[in-house]
Formats: sequence, structure tokens, C-alpha cells
Amino acid sequence: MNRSKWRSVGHELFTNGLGIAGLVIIVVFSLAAALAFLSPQDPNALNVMERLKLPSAAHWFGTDDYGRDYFTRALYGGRVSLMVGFASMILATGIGVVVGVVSGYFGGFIDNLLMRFLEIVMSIPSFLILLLLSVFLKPSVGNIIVIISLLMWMSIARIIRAETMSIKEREYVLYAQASGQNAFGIIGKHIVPNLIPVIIVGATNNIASAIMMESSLSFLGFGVQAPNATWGSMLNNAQGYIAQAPYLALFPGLFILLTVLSFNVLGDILRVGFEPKLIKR
Amino acid sequence: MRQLIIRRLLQTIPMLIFVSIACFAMVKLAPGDPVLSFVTPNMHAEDIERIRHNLGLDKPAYVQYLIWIKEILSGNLGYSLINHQPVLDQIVERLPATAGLMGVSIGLAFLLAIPLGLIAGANRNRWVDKLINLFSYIGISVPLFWLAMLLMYFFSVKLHWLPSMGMRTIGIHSVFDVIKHGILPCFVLAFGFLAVYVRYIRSSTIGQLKEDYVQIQYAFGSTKRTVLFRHVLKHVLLPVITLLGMSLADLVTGAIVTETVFSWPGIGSLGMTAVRGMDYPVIMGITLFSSVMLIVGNLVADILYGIADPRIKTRG
Amino acid sequence: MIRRKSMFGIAAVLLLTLLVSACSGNNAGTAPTPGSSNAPTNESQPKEGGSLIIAVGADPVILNPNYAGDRVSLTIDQALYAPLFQVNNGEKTFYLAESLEPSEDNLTYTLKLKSGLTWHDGEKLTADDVVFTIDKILDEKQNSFLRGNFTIGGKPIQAVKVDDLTVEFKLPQVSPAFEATLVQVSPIPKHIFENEADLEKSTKNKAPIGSGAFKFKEYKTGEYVTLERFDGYVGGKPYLDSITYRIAKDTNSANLALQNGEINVKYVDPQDVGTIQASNKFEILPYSEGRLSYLLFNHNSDTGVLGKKEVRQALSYALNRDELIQVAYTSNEYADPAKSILAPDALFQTNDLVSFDNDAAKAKELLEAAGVKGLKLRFIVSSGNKAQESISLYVQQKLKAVGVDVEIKAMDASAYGEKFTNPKATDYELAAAGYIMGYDPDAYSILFTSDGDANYSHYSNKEVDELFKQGASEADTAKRGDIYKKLQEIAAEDAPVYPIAYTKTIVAVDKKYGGLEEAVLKPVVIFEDLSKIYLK
Repeated sequence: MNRSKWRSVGHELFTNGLGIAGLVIIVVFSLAAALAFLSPQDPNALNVMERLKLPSAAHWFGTDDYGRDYFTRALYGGRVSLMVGFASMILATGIGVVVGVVSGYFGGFIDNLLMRFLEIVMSIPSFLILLLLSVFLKPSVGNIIVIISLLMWMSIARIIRAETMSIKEREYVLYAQASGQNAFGIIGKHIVPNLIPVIIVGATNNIASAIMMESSLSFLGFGVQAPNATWGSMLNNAQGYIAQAPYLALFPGLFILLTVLSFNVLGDILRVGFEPKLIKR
Repeated sequence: MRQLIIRRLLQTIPMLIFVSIACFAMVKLAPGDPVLSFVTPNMHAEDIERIRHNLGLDKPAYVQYLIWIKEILSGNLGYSLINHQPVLDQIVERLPATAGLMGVSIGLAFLLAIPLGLIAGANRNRWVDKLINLFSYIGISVPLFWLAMLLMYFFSVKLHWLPSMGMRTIGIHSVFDVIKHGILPCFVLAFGFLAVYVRYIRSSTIGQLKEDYVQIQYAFGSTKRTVLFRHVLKHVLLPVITLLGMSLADLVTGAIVTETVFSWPGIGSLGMTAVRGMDYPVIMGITLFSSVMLIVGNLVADILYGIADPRIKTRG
Repeated sequence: MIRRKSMFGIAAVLLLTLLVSACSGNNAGTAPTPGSSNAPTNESQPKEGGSLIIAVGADPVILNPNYAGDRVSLTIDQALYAPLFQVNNGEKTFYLAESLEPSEDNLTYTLKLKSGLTWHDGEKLTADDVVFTIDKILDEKQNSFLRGNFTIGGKPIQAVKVDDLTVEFKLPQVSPAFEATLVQVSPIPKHIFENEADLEKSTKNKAPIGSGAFKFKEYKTGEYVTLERFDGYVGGKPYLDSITYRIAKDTNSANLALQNGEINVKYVDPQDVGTIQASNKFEILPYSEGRLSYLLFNHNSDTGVLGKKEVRQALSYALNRDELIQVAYTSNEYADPAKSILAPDALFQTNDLVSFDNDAAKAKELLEAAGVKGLKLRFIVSSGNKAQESISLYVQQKLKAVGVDVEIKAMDASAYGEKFTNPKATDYELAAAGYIMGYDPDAYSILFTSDGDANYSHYSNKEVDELFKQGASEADTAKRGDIYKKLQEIAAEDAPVYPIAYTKTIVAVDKKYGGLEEAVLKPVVIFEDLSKIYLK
């Protein structure tokens, strides 16, 4: 990791219109979600008289079928969606890095074992398992994060493994090994720092897919429980009112699209910036 | 070549065994006692134990697993806990709906992705590329269920052009009717696949255009179009074969959400109903079935790839 | 069905019981006279031919009336299997039966069948089939949940064949509710099931042979069940050629399909009525299913706090029934405020009772007097069930105002059903549910007697137990009426549950169909006799 690489990332990011837009969207959404408590409205307060009102000055996004302020709900919903995205990313990336590095560095039997295990996990249809687990386990944000992470670490583990294997062959690593440093020292000092670009790129893409998974899950009515909402569960509810109140379906969907889009765009830009050769992965 | 195929086939066997163990374990660990579905309120404890014995549930887990495998190999995937129908029958009955929907969507996406990907790759960073690129970014980022809702709103609610649910109109048995019902779900799925394929083909086109043979073709006086659609296409198609092989698994469970939104009577809807009703044998059956499809799909893809590109032989 | 079965097992007493959890999402209601509501009067002549498409919410579980417990199976069985007779507003309409006469001592009932009856396959339908059906219901090994109804005080009712067209039922003791029990029976063919070891798992159920107005033609799982006209139907040849039950799991797309003419008959939720009505293509028929929607207090919860009458009264005071109805059912147009535990279609029902409602100050006072502070309650809901969700959200908000914390615990439908019906479940206090118990008040005993099979709230009051016991064996109508009036008064004071509303079921029927009045709107199964419906 040298300074020029970071500079090249910065360059890619700020010369690309899409990149700037993506970054702005993510920052704005994260801030909005973090500051959701500033909204004067209670996201869960029912108000029968204010049911299904069109967007107006009082209710920027209108109200839902219980008369709850839709804008405030979207803020709080975004909080859960983004939190699940980030937390699953951290957990999944963590697992992926550990498995990938161990597998790639030590090779041999451990590598074989881990990779066979990975293949098995990959050959089970993940979405069905996701549904099943969310039924088995008590639906809570924590559980959802764990479940999503358990289904997402594989791709990053594979990339990290390949990358570790190539770094392992570099001279300074061979030298360190020859001079008798212990394996974990080498991994910590020489391997992991060099993996950072790959990790960042993989992590960015992981957030996008975690947010997508969480929304699909919530859309099907599993996932976070009432009265709390996520963008996905708001869409699930909006489905019942699509003829009367199509705006209920518009906002949450648009937010999911913009968020996932931004992370996908950023992931690609980072990849190009960090290491042009990664494009061909 | 034959060696490669044999080796891959042999590798598949332990995979299948492990996947079956995973499926079995999943259901074993699931909450609920399967004996209860045979118990009536007036039964004595010894009757319940007798049922447990008859079902083989008092045997050690590995014996139960072996019995289960034996049944599966003879084509018995068990019975639904809800309607007591054989699981295999239900899967087979739903398969055409899903396979048809997914097959058409993937085929459509594939056919459109080739020209779009090639054009985008060849015009890198020009406006055509940027447009296609933006479009494919949206394709991989849009929640498909949301897209489905929007399409349903416009075409079913507002315009009344297309039906909103199911696979056919009751009482009408025509292919045209099925197509009419299939347009929206097919579009949604194809849109998602298309974006993935386009990105893949675009980046491999960019890679191929740097190769020597392209320069040689230009030197021989070939036009850009000939180079692109005759020579580059051939090389680009190779990796795409792998993609198609992997899509085989999607034929089974790739459309859970889309099928649910459009009430399409396929395996995805079956799976959703089973999950909601905790119908373990059906869930297990679908999981096993699609895992097998995925493994076979990867196998087929690898073999095709090997045939097309002999250099790959050395790959473990 | 791991869970579901055990739930049926316990609930086993009336089909109604399972509707407690199975259909608390649906809305049912008041006009106490089925079919009398706004069914259209119609001058045009009935035409023969045509088909009708009815939306149902799920795949049928089993097309055999001895086992059908879910709404969809019951609905389809209604067309497939003719009943012996039906009762509307206390009046019997005879189908397979010609008459049913009790003996002087009310211990023997003689059922006469009409002559010349046949099954869909042309075989004769005789007394043998009726006796066979009852025997199979009583056979413990056959696991029919109707069995509980056919035992009185632990002794079975006996069915004896007298001749080909006559069956005698011998009761172990006087039971005014016997007719209500027999209403639920539709005979199954002996010649088909005779040699089947397990009727429930029999493959014969896949292509059922019945005696109803329409015979089985085709079933595609997840898509539809199609029935076609049965010319030998006891009620006369049906007008329509076929009936199709369209399996529409997603309400939203099914509503669209209704408006696009792909579905002709469908239940509609109150909030969707406006949209459907606007198209002016549908008759909107609200009718009572005799359903009470209520808030369940689990007296048995591990905190034990709801065992106290004062606490239950306080919680009731904290709520506002009219508001609750607004939240859950959009308006009171399709839900009448409820005070009695009996639904309006039950004999001797009265809504002129004390009620604890809408007085937060009083609620706080009572809680304080009972020495309850910082109360935390757990409210279980079946996820995806809109009505339950609304009620739980409302209750959470209102109880918060009197200092009671409500935690909403959503679970999947089968887990919910299991917990709700499990007498030992002590880890929740509140649930939203509903029941449809039919017209005889004795049926309600399973819900409110101390050892009742479906006493999910674990209410226990010796006086109530005694009154139910008296009512069950009292042959004098006036005296019986007094007993049940008294019972309702005690139950209102005790607040074992919080009655919310008698909900109406709303059915939308395409205007191109006639004969709706003759077909008679019926709880749970939509129409009593589909043979009367025709294309205008």
C-alpha cells in the first residue's frame, strides 16, 4: 500500500461523475438515518384520521395506512437497512478474510478442507436458506445480520485466498519466512496490509448485496418486526395499496435502488483505482 | 479431455454427499417433532413410541440418514407434512412453470447481452458505453420485486393491458395466454440477468480487443464489425458458457421473489409456501434438488469450458 | 403440519375453532341474517352454461369433509359434497335428508334420506353411507376432528341403519346442540373408502367422489381446482357448467385480477371496498359470519397478572373500542362494536351489557388499586396478518399511555397457532384472535369453561361452568334463554377477553351473475348452494 495508489483511487473517484454522486448519496443517506431522531414525528405513532394522505408540506412523503408519517418512517427504515448492510459487511468480510488468508497462506490440507467446505456452502441455494433460517431463529436485527453474513463470506474468501497465494510468493515474504519469523507475524505484517485494496473492494460490493438481501427478506415479510420498518418491509406493506397510494411504493424502492447503486458504482471505481489489473478478475 | 471429465465427476460425488448431509442436518436441527404430525390427542405414550419406532426415528442419526438416502436414491423424497402428497410429484409438477419462465428469461437476456456487451466494450468510454453501463448498473442494483411492483402498477392497474397474477386465464388453454401472463415476470427476470451478462461480456470484450489476433485481423484489413462479431465474439463466448452453466441452478430457485409477486405457480412459490408452513420435507426436497442442479450446472460449465479451451486442462 | 396437526387435535371440537387462528385476518360481521343483506333482486331469466371463478387464499389441505378444517377445503367441499341439511336463522333447508325428527324423550333422532340419491360416479347413496361416515368420524384411529362433537359426556352418539333410507341416531343424553353437530356432516361414499386403512392419507382424496352440485374435474396445485356440473344433484341440475377455485395467495394481485375479470368472486377487505366498488362491476355483499374479533388475555401467563379481574378491566378501560375498530377495520361499516362473548347469530345473544371502555384515568386508578406497577406485556401476532398487526400496534400505543409496556412478538403462522392453542404456553399475555362458533350457545362452552378444549384464555369461573352445564341439557327454551343471558352478564363483568367487534365478511361478486340470493351467503364457505347461481 503506497501513497500513489491512494492518490489514484482519489483521482478515479473525483473525476468520475457517478462516483461523486454515489458518495454524496451514501453520505446523505447515512446522515439522514443517523439523525432520524431529529424528525418531529414519531415513526410509530398511529393516527387514524391521517390515513393514506398524499405527500404534503406536513408529511413530505405522505402517510401510510396507519396514518404514520412516511418520511420519518423512511428515515428510521433506512437506519435499519444501512445498519444491516454495514454490519453484515464487516462480519462477512471478517470471516472471508480469515478463511481466505488461512487457506491461501497455509495451503495443503487446511486449504483443501476449507475450500471443499466453501464449495458445499456455495452449492446450497442461499436465498431459500436465508428464508428458512429467518423462520427458525427469532427475527431480530442481530440475527438477520448473522444470517446474511453467513451466506455472503464465500466470494470474498475466494478472492482473498487467490491474492494471498500470490503475495506469499513475493520475495519479502519468502525472506521473512527464511529468517524464521512466525507465520502469524508474517500474515499480520506482510500479507494483510497488501490485501487491503482487495478487502475494500470486496467489502463495498458486500454492503450492496447485504442491503439487497435484507430488503428482499423484509419484502417477503420475514426480517425486522413491526412496528419497526425497513425499506423492504415498507414495500411489502405498500404492495397492498398499490392502486390507492402508489407513492407508498415509490420512495422506499427508490432509496434501495440509489443506495445499492451507489455502493456498486463505488466498488467498481475503487477496484479500477486500486489496481488496474484487478479488472480482469 | 476424458480425464478432466472423469476427475470432475469424481469430485462431484463427495460434494453431493456433503450437501445431502447438510440438508439432512438442517431438518434434524429444526424445531418441532415430526412424530407430532401423526399423533392424535387420545393417543397413549406407548402408541407414540410405537409410531416413533415405525418411522425409524428412534434409531441413531446416521442410520436415519442412510435410510433417507436409500429412499432418495429410489426416487422417494418424502411426503409433504401439509397435504401428504409426495414431494417429488410436487416438484415435478411445478418444474415446467419455473423452468419455462427462467429458460426464456435467461435466453432472452443472453441474446440481448451479446450485442450490447460487445458494442459497449468496443466503444469504451464513449456515450454508447456510458449509456449501456448506466443501464447495467441499474439492472444489478434495482430490487427486482420493486421493479415488478412498478410494472404491475403501470401495465395491470393503470392500463389493464396485462394480467397481474398466475400463469393462465382459467378456462383458456392457449400458448398465447400463457405468454401474456409471462411477459411481466419474464421482463423482470431478464432485466436482472441482462445487466450481469452485459457487464461480463463488456469487460471481456475490452480484454480481448487488446489481444494480438485483433491487431492482426485489422492488419489484414478486416472491418471493425467483422472483427467484433466474428473473432472477438468467439473468444468472449467462452467465459459466458460458464455463466450459463451456473444459471442452471437459477432454473429452480432463482425466482422466489418474482414468482411470489406475480403468483407464478412455480418452484419458488412452492418453496415460499413450504417455508411459511414449516413443511420440512418439501423444503428439504427443493433444497436438495436445486443443490444438485447447481453442482451439475458447474460441472457442465467446466466440461464445456474444457472442451472449448484445451488450455484449461491443468486446472484442478 | 407438525404444528398444525397438534393444533387441530386440541382444538378439535368445531371447525370453527381453527378459524380462531386461521382466519383472524379476515373480516366477518353482523347482518345477522345471511343472504338477506343486499343480494340483488334480479328479473332476468336464468341461463344455463357458463362458469364461475372463485378466489381462494391457499391450496386446499384435504378434499374430504371428515377432515376439512381449513377455510379453503371447507369452501370447495361445500360444492363437492352435499350436506344432509343446513340451518339458516333457525330454519332447516334439507339437502340429502328429507326429514329429521327427534323422539319424545329427545334421545333418538330419526333421519330420513331422499330417495334416488346418487354419488358423482353413479353409485347409489344410501343410509349405509351415512352410517359409514359417522362410524369413521367416531373411529379414533381415523383421527377426524369432528369426533369431539359426536361424543357427549365421553359417550359416543350411535348411528344405526333402519332401512336403506333411514338412520337412527341414539344420544347418550339430551343434547339441544345435536342438530348443530349434524349440520357439519356431509356423507362420504362407503364404496370408495371401505377398504382404505387411513382415510386421511388415502389417495382417493385426490379425485374425490361426492354428491354435491359439482363434481371434481382437475386440481393443479398452486393454480386452481376445477369442478364440473353434476346433473344428478339432489337440489336439481345446476345452471353453471363449471366452478373454478383460483388459488390466489397474494391479496393484492388477486384484487387486480378481480377487476380485470379473471376472478368473479372474492373476499375483500374493508379498505379495498372503495376501489372495487368504483369499477361498478361488482355486487359488494357484506354478511355476518357470526364472528367475534377479540383481544385475548392469557390468564395463565407466567407473570399471572392477567388472572386478576381488575387488571383485565383496567386494560379494557385503556382502550377505545371505536378507535380500535377504525384502526383494524377502516370503519364501523363492516364491524359492529362487540360487548358480549356470544356472536349475534347465536341464540339468546345480547349486547346490552356492561363494558369497560375508553377511560384512561379509571384504568390507571384500577391498576394502582391492584398494586400493579411497571407492567410489561407480551403480545403475540402471526406475521403478515394485517388485522392482528393493526390491533397489536393500537393496543401498544394505548397501553403505553396508562404506563403499560407492550412488546409485540411476531411469529410465523404455524408457530403462532401452536402457541395460541397450547394450554401450557405461559410466555405471552395478549393476542388478537377471532372465533366463529355457530348458532348454538353451547358451542361456546369449549372457549369459556374451566376445562374447555379451546379455553385459550384459561378463564375459570365456577359459576360460568355451571351455567354452561345447565344450558346444555335444558330443553325449555325460555329457561335456556335466561341461563345464557346470565352467563353473558357474568362474562362481561369478568372481562375474560376484550370483545372488539362482530366483523362482517365482505364478498365481491361480478354483476354478470344472478341467483345469489337463492345460493345463500354462508359463513366460511361463501355460498351454501352454488347450483343456484347463473349467468345473467
